[in-house]
Amino acid sequence: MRAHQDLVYSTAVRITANDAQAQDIAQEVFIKAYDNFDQLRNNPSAGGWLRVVARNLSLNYAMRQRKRWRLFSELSSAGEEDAEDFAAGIAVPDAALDGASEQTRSELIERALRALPERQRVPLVLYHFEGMAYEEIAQYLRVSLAKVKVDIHRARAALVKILEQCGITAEDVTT
Amino acid sequence: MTEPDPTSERELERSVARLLENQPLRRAPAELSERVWAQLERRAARPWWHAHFSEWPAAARAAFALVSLAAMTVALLATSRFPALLGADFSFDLSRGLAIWRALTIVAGSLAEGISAAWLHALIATIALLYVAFFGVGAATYRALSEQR
Repeated sequence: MRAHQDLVYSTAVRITANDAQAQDIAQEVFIKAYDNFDQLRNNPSAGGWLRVVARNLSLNYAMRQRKRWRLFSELSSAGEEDAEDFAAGIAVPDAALDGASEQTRSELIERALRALPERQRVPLVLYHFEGMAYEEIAQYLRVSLAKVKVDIHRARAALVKILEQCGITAEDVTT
Repeated sequence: MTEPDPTSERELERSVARLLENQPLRRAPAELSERVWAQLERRAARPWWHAHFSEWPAAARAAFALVSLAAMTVALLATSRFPALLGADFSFDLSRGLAIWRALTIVAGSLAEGISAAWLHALIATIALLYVAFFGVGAATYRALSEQR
């Protein structure tokens, strides 16, 4: 369990953006793993199994949230949020600029991801962290392919903008 | 819904991929494993009849199936003999059912004719107003409570 707990928790927390919910999901994943222990004990793809279960449970949670919010929240927003609004909610430490350590940079990226609205964050995480194709994401989220592409595009643009405001660019990361 | 320009989208995708590709895993809270073990212990400690039916012992499942079958048989026998015990004829008569339905529609029709159009409109307007009011109150409460979270 210890070998995979970070993987399971990361999957859940990136999709849900909710620590408490991610812990509940991770707990449920490991209970399921315990129930299927005989199959997983000597299975080299146990990590993949855990990841898929964590992803599915997290998406179930996200879908439930989406249904709950759609009526009152999504009707009121046009869908194109201003990245400055998100960036304003992220407290950037002074060290975040030029001399940012790897850890600070990673934390800022996680916080920027978390600041994205759910309808943008979830497809972005599925694409970039879970390695899913656009078509697969559309199928999973039961939305059109065009919507997935547009949401991911907006998420990328917002993420880059937020991180630029925090002094992080793609070039910094590669160096 | 307009799809983004493919060229600029590819550049943006590359930039974001570079930003995210080496992102380390989030560290799971230290108490996660304790929570899982505690939950497993709680589950193991609960009596078997609180568990899912598929987890019941085979003998208990077989006994439950037999008892259910017996209960169903008794219930069916009792219902089939109930009218005879009361000495009444409970057989279903379709023509009687239709006659009752016709009588009900006639009563409803005469009631509707008796109500003036003004009253009918006022009633519909009141219902609509109440619906809108409840919807508004519900939406406002939901937003107020969810914003506090």
